Amino acid sequence: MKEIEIHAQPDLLHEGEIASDIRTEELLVNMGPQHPSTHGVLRVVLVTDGELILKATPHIGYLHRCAEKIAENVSYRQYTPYTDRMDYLAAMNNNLGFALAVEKMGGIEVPERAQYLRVIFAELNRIASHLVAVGSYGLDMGAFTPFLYCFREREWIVDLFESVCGARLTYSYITIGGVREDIPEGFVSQCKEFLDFFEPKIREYNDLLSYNHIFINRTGNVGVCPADMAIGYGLTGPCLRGSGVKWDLRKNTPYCKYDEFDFDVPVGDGRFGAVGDCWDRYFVRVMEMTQSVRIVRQALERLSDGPVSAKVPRMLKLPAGEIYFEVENPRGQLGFYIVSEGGNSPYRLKVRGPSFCNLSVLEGLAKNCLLADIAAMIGSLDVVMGEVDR
Amino acid sequence: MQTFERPKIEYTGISKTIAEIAVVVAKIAGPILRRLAWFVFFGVIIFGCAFVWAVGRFVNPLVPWIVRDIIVVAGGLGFVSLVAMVGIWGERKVSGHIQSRLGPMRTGGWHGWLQSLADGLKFVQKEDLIPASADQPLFRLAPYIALVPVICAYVVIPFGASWVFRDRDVSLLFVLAMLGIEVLGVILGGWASNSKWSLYGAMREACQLVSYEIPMGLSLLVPVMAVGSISLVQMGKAQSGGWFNWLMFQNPFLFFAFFTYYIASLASCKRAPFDLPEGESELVAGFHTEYSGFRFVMFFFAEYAAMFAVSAIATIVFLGGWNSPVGDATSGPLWFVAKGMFLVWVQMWIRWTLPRIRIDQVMHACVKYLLPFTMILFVGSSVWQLYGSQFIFYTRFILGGLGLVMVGLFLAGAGYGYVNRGRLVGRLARKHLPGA
Amino acid sequence: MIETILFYIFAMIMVVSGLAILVSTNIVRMAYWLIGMLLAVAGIYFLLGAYFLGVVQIIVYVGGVAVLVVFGVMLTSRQLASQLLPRAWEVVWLICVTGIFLAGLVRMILKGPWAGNVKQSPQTVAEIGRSLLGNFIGPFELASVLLLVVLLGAAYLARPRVPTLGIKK
Repeated sequence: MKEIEIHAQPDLLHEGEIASDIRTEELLVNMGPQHPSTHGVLRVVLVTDGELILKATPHIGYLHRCAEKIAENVSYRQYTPYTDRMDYLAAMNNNLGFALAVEKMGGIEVPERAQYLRVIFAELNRIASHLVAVGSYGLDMGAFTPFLYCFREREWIVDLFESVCGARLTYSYITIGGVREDIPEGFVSQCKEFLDFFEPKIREYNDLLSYNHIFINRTGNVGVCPADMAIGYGLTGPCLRGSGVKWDLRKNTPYCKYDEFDFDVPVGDGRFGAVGDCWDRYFVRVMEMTQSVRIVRQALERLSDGPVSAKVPRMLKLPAGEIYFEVENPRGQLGFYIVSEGGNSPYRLKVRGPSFCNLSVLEGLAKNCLLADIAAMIGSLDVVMGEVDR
Repeated sequence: MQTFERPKIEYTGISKTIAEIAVVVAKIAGPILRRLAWFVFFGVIIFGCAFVWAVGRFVNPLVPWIVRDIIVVAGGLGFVSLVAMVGIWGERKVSGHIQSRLGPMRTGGWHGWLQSLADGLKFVQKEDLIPASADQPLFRLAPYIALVPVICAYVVIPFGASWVFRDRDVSLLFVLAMLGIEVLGVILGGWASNSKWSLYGAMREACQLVSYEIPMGLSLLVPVMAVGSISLVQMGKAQSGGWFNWLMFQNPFLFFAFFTYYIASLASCKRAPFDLPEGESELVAGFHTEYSGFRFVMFFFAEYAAMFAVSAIATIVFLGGWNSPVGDATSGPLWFVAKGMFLVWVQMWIRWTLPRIRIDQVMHACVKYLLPFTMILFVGSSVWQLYGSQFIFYTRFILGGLGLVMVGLFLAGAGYGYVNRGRLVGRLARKHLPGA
Repeated sequence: MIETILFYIFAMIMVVSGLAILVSTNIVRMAYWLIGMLLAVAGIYFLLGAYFLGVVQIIVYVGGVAVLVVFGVMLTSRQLASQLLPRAWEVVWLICVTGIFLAGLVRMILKGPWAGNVKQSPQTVAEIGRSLLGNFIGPFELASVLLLVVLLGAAYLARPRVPTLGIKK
């Protein structure tokens, strides 16, 4: 630990001597893997000067489970549960990305009902994931109540998922070829009931948290990431859209019938600070929930009859070659890069986790901020360590 | 309620008959005792109060003052403990209901009213962990420095016109002094834990507490000027009559002084939105991270006792203390405790609604906004008293009406929430389960 | 009777705390013994019936000066602990000087005309207020000007300066 003396500008009172008695050292502070406000097992090593942060270095790898290596040993259909556990808060979207990549490579045609069901569940999971992000961000800022309101709404969504596939967190519902099972009776009406109940709640969250003066002071103008910095660090998803860049894979390179739906892409506008501060990223997530509700309503209308899965052999063999396919996860662009040699399992499967790239910007954001702002920044980036470490 | 199954033991001979008789007696007496537990608990409290009152009324002149003092001190300590227990239980219920859940429901039967007692027992039997690198005597000393001054503050707080342990000239200043000593306990707790995180919390907290003592004192000076005495009993007596005689409604500066005092007292109790020292997400638990078991209970106790103490000061100084709003017939300690608990409830309400303010913003708010505002109130109130004497009589009714309107709006909001409780935030989402 | 007992208790706390400050080697503990001593002094003021003075002693000394001392001590405690033990030759002349001083103080306390006429009044605060704004208004205003100068000086000294990182000489 180097000792640094701070010499004042020369002045009438010869403050150079006075300042040298009170030496300020750089303190190395460890926001350890176990910490209430790092979302998951993330270690951030902070070099601070009193309350001011000089440098923040994230250390990752505490949740590494060799998911990519395992893919080389299991077949494609067996790999779907592994995709659940990467970003465990948005498991449906992970399943969707993997299924779409494999289907595109293998030329498998997915029936229409399955495609609309996929959209419904992916968007419902987007709402659930954003509820966790918004709620736990409030919790980091000290507002305990919105956290429980968001989780109360999430309970409803998770109960809907449980009625369909039996699981509450890691679904493995969207499989290669379609979805695993058809929806039960009454699902559509219950889903509509949930959407009617949920839409006014977003206004409540805005009243309680988003436009709260204290929250705006904590997050406005904090962790400002301008658009060029965001693109340079490879941010995607709400982090990129919060910096003002209107880029959404569902609109720009639509997949899975997303081009048939009418929805907006919310973008941060720097209402309470510079464009690209923590408030913008947070608010983009809140607005995306509204848009997801719109998409689910339209998808429920378009749901037609038919099979819910194509016939896919148990030991699926993909032709030799490679493919990289990206989908819009709640956290950003999730990409699957599959290299196949024609066998049962891929030769190499690489996952481009959006949280991994989003987390890298922490070092750039954390110059000359306060200790309390680190929690604000990590919360606004909305990282899930399962996806960062895989 | 869950029943505890004892392991089966085989008895022989006389023990067998005794055991059988015991089982039968327990089967019969158990439910009766459970019903009676309520009556026993409240009976003890009521009997205790009646005993104290009787002692005060009849035994008073006959007994040396030391015995009277001991009884009153015991009663005061009991009241503080009760306030802390009810405060902790209330916090959990209030937070639960605000967050659309229920809070404790099992311990003791009706809405878990014995939960704080169970928590206290749990804490008492925990392992006494002291970090090896902590400064041992200072670590042990810190909770006492935090707790004892707050209890001492109750020495001068009057619960009624004559319900005060010691009525002194300077009682308001004495309470402020006692609340100021608490800072040292918190700093010591943070330092003696020998951990960077605790030290950060302690230093921030000391800054915050010391800074907010100034607006607190200045806001309290405004009613002191209006009454002309620092004695709490005198201030309470000056507000008898009706709710328009309460000091809060006497002039507009006093009206705002109540709110600035309340905000400054939130900061001095380390309650949200000023709870950086304790509940900060990145400091784990701030200055009392390393404290466990009964030492932690003492910090907790000190916090809830301080909450009621500052609310008590607010009621005596601004809200009329023990005087009832509609004439003097029912004035007394019950009104005082009710008003104090109402202010404590508002403190909890604010805590569970607002996020936390960052430390530099806390200091900004104090020095840039609260302090100049309280100074303006101070100057304005003194000018009002010098030159505005002809307004004084009518202002109380106008401001009193405003206060009534505020109470009415509050009740209307509560009523609206209650009537629409199925549709609004508080509904427990249970009915949507598929197949339900 | 009870006052005598209480006086002896407070005096014992004061003397013991004072001695502990001198004897202790840990500077943070010294700060807290100082707090104990100041509280005992406040207790003596309460015994004398000077309630206002006692309360002000607690607010100003314990809640202000002692907090300041504790702050300063905690931020620099690791550097100064070793320099506090006196060396052998220092002890000798320290004992001489303090012995002379102590002798003079004791003689003054025992022989001085201290039995004065203290006006006992229940309205201490009102009396103090009247004399502050009556007989003693000069010193009162001067003290407030002094405090203002101190505040301005402290704010000037503690203003944020642009630091230039220098190499340690």
